[in-house]
Amino acid sequence: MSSALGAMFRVLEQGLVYAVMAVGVYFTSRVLDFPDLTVDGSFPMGAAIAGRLLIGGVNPLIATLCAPVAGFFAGAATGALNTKLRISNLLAGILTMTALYSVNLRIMGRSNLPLLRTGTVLTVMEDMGISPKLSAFLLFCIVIVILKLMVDTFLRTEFGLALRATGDNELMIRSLGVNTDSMKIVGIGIANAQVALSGALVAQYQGFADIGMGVGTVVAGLASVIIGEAIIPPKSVGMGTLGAIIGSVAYRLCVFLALRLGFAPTDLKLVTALLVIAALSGKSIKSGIGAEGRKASRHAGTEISV
Amino acid sequence: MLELRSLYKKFQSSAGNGRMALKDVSLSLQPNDFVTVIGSNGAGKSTLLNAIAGVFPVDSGQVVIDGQDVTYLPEYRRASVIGRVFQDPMQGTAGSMSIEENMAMALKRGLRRGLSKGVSAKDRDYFRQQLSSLGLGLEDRLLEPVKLLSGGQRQALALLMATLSKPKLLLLDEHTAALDPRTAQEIQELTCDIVRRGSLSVLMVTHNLRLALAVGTRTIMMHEGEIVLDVSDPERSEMTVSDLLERFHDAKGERLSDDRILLEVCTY
Repeated sequence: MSSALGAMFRVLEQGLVYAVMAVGVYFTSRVLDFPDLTVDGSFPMGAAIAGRLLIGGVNPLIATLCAPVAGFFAGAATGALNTKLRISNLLAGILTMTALYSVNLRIMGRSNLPLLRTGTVLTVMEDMGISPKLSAFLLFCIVIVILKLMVDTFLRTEFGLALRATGDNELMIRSLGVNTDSMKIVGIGIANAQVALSGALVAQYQGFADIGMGVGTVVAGLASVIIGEAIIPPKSVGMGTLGAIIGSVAYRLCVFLALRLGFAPTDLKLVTALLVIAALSGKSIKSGIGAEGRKASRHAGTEISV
Repeated sequence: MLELRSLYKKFQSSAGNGRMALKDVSLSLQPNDFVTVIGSNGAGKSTLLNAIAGVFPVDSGQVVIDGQDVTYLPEYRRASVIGRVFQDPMQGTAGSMSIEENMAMALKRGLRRGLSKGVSAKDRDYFRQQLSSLGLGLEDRLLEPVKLLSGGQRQALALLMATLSKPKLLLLDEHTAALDPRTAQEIQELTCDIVRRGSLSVLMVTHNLRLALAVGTRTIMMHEGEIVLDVSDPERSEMTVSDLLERFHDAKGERLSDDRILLEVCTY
């Protein structure tokens, strides 16, 4: 019984730490309406930077906070490729993500950095006298609450309104004097700062940074956002970010259950992709695509209920 | 106020031979000028408005607004002096954002947008007061997302937003054409109200020739990228639609190649 509870607790921890990334994906996909694939590169970049700095003996808090700074520039690079060089949004993200693979290897020096013997933000918590059992949960709760409040407040500032309008109606906000190119560059930067922060925390949580840990991040983030929207209709910005957080926890729960049902960990990406496909096709029936769309989504629905 | 000097704009077609969208267009507007712009489809009316707003660069010529040469300024940097309302009511507002958020963005037209609160309590009072002047009851719905409004309500809001921060120039691109006749008339009356209240110059594109003569102080007609007719009050106030067509014929020396114009007169 207690082992089941312990497992659920771990699911909750994971959900919260990945929620930092999910809020970033919410930011690009829902606020800016930009399908950003940079995420698959900026997530491991956060891990790589934090890992390398921790091994170098840097204060864990500083090491962790360096990750979002680098993440911001990665996202801004994608934004600049898209707006200044007119490369399509998907390709711009893929280009940055691909470039980051090499950058991340350079940062780490090799493909895997174990962090078990270095100090981390979690050991800092424990040094403050917080039980190791609770430290991760507490830390991630604090981080996600602060992040959510910051994002919500930011999106209601003058700048934040212009950013949201850039995602909603570019033509209109440009006619009101906003440089939408800059908005996209800054916005995608902010989103990837969050993603990199999540990567830095995950690396410290799981005890290593790995070059392959970013694969499928964007799909997992989208899955969280979509599940969150199903649970909490995103009627306001606050509901949207809350949905992404709850969606992230729910998604990790789905992953946990899939593993319990006997899926191999290597099958999880497939399960996640199917989950997203099912959710998206569910949307297309709602908007009345017709008999064919309905049939397709029924199939997807049965696959997902496995 | 607005000074256009010999604007040229050519659009390249995929076949290689371009189409002259603006041909030697010169125009001078005084403050409080209300100019209606007419012409058949493809005459260059929307191109003219887009060239003024800076949606694309012109090939040659000069755009001067209030003494400042803006020919090479991008669209977003001209916005502080230009308000626009588009034909599609969806284009003038952000549907997922609330009425007050939309208005707050309009209030900041052309200004730096910082990290202070997007909508302040003081703004809210001002918005309520402005919205109540529309007489649509929108002042009680500040927090509702704009997508819940009807097309006419959205266009009324777009019109209010376009003039909220007192631009010097208002560009209306067939802003009533997508509305049902009754709503179109209401929006038109609202337009005249707003224009009367603030001192600004207006360029209004319309397909309705009768309306073009009935409102404003001056009418220009475009044809194949050129301004072929330019009449002001008091001469204009005595003109009828058939006079307008007659003048068009004189100007071009051709028998109304555009029955389209006539047809459009009949449909109104």
